[in-house]
Amino acid sequence: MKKQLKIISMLTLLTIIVAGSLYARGDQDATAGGLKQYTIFLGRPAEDYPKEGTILGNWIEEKTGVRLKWEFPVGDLRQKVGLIIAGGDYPDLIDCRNENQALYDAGAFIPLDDLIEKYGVNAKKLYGKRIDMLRKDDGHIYWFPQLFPYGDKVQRTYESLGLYVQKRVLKEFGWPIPKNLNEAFDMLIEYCKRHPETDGNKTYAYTALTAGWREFALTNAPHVFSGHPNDGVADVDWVGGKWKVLPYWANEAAYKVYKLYNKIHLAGLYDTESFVMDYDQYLAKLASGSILAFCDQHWQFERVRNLLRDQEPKDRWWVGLPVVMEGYKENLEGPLDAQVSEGVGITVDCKDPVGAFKYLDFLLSEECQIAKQWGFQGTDFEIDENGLYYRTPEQIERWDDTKFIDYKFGQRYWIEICGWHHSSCYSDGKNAVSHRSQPAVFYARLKDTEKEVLDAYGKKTWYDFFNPPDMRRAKYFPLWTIKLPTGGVEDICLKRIEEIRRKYIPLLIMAEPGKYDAVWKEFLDVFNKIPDKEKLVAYYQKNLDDRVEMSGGY
Amino acid sequence: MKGNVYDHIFDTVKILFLLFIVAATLLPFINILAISLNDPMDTMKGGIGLLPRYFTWINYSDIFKNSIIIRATINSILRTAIAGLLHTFCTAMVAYTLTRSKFLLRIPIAMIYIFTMYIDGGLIPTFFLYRALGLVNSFHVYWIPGLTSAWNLLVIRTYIKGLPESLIESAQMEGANEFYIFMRIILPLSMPVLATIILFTAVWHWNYWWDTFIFNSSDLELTTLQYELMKKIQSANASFSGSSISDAFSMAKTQVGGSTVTPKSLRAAMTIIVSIPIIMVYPFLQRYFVHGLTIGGVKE
Repeated sequence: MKKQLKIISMLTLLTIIVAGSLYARGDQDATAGGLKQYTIFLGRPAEDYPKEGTILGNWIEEKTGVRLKWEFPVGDLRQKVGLIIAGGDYPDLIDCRNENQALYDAGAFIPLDDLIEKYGVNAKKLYGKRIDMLRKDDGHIYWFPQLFPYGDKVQRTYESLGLYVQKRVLKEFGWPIPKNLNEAFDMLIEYCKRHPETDGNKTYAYTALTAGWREFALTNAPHVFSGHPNDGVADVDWVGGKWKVLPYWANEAAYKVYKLYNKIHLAGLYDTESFVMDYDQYLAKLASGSILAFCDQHWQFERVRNLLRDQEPKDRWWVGLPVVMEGYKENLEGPLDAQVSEGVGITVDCKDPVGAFKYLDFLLSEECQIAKQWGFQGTDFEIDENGLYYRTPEQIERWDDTKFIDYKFGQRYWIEICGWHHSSCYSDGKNAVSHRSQPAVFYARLKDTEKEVLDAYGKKTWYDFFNPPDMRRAKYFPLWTIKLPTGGVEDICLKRIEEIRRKYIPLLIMAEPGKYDAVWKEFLDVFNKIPDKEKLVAYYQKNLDDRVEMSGGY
Repeated sequence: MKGNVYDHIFDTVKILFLLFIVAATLLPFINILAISLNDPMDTMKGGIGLLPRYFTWINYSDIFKNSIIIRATINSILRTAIAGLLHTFCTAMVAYTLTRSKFLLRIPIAMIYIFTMYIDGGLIPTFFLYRALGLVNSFHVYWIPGLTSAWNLLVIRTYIKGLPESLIESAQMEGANEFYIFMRIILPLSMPVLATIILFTAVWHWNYWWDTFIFNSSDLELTTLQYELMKKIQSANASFSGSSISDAFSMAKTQVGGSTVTPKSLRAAMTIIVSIPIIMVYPFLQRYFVHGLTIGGVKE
């Protein structure tokens, strides 16, 4: 019996602990210091908002009298959104990125049109006559996009994507810009012949990222090397006075590109391991410095590039070149994209929609954009006699510390809510929205090894290597933000196309000498059997036309 | 060692095989440890073996700099201890009941349990049920729903069935009631299986972050260590993979000794952090893994 007593008393104790841990919690929703509090769910992982607040956050609180209570997803966003919808308790403000459509279908958002009419001073200023782009099928506006171009001026310093070639290769051949992809590949193969080894590793002419959703670095090659800006899913060409959606899945460009890849493979210089590498391994491989070239978007490997810029010998990083295949025009840079398919909206559960709207409208203001992107004059940036913003070396150092910027300054929490496009200019027409696009800051941060390349080519920025964007595209750009209805025929069709391409692209690249055409034929046979392709293209075309319509037609 | 030459050969092969198993399980772990103690930017170049190249604590300090981690750890320890012990105890009680042939509902109840192994209500209905039961945004969601589980029930039941029936009969003849028998005979004799179940349950609870994510994500006070680490990794991933907006331009400085934490290094450090407590629990349960001493209790 004694033992029983022991066990029972132990259980009681445990229960008490549990109960204790429950009631020891203070009241959660006490609003601090007379501030209004709104809850917000932001569909992008971040660490919890710091208890002590952040520099930017405190300033916004002071300006608006509003404090946000943040929640971020961990794990699968789609599942979380499903739960939020099923549970029916929405936070006051919500932005679920690419799952916004599901919330919209569930009727979670309130229409903002009247509020914009009444209180949307800054909203009107930013969206102006392009405000119709924000409208959903029913003609109402439900959310403010993460970023929206202000005016038409494009101010960039960095390239978006291209053929990335290592600096040492360019140096060896006297700083060329190859006329076409074939020439570029010959140059790479020649370099490999001269330098078969890099620090004890084999030198590879080429690799491609194929991990999970990042596989577009390989699968979009026909799209990129036929000179198109990043529309992602298909080429969009100007045909007969209209923008037309033309798939590149099995077109002539695809045939040519992978044949060129095959050429590198036959020379024994294509990194075939890349077909089974995950993202970490890809980065590690790039970081080893033994890969001469690849096609990708800069943000996927930016860290490695920075790493190699700082490391002796400082010639192992890659320069983005405007190289396309013979017979195609290079137009890799697109206009500023308005990502209208995602954004922050006010939910039906918000008790004070007017207050919440005023808060969002403040976030849309120029004053708030400058604070978000540049910080505060005197501590984060200075203004010269021409009214141009710049940062002193100490301020640059301060803003190079991502941890500080994210969690002490607090930029990470607001940067994706109600943003102005970072490559737009402010209303003064000379200062770039983001310091990233500001020439003064760009030059101040250039390293000697970068200056050498820019000087050799006689260019001012990396962006100058490329042809200026075709601004007519601004009416729809980019195509990839058009979302297919989940589980519809278009969606299934696209998935099947992706699957088949995933299987055959490696086979094409690794085809034996003289067998390429046979593999291509086999690929076409399988590809042509996929049903509903024309429906898929028609869906994109229809949505594209709708967009053009909304932004004022042709 | 007695026996002939074949025995010796067999023993040698056996030992070599076991050594191979040890190496195969231990080496990846040491590699993870090395990565977690290595400079993150340097790790990116690959090629870390069993020793770090540039020693640093930064991966760990980066995880622990957040004050909520302490609270999360306490919650994790609490849920692991409470759920591990209570779950095992309750499941054992049910298991013992289901071995008594006197108990009429034995078969139906066992059936109901087995049913749950194959079919569940799905996420949304489960969420509604828990919400109706007041388990959402409360600590109870960590231990009440998993108080008994079908699989562990079957394991314990099978073990109890293997105990000599005559032990129980003799105890009944001495006038012991069922609860007394359960506490004084069955539990001590089932120690090996119970220790195993406790260990598995504890590991499971220690590693589980899903219920925090689904039911308690809006209450920071109820967060668990795994959930916080998951957050950490995902936010690192998010800033790493960037979007059109992510300002790759202001990525941190990247010399060796720079302070950029990469998802890969974070993952390694987290793996070590979450493994160590469980590894420390193991020796304490080790002694129960020897067979229960039923020998000599009964003369068949």
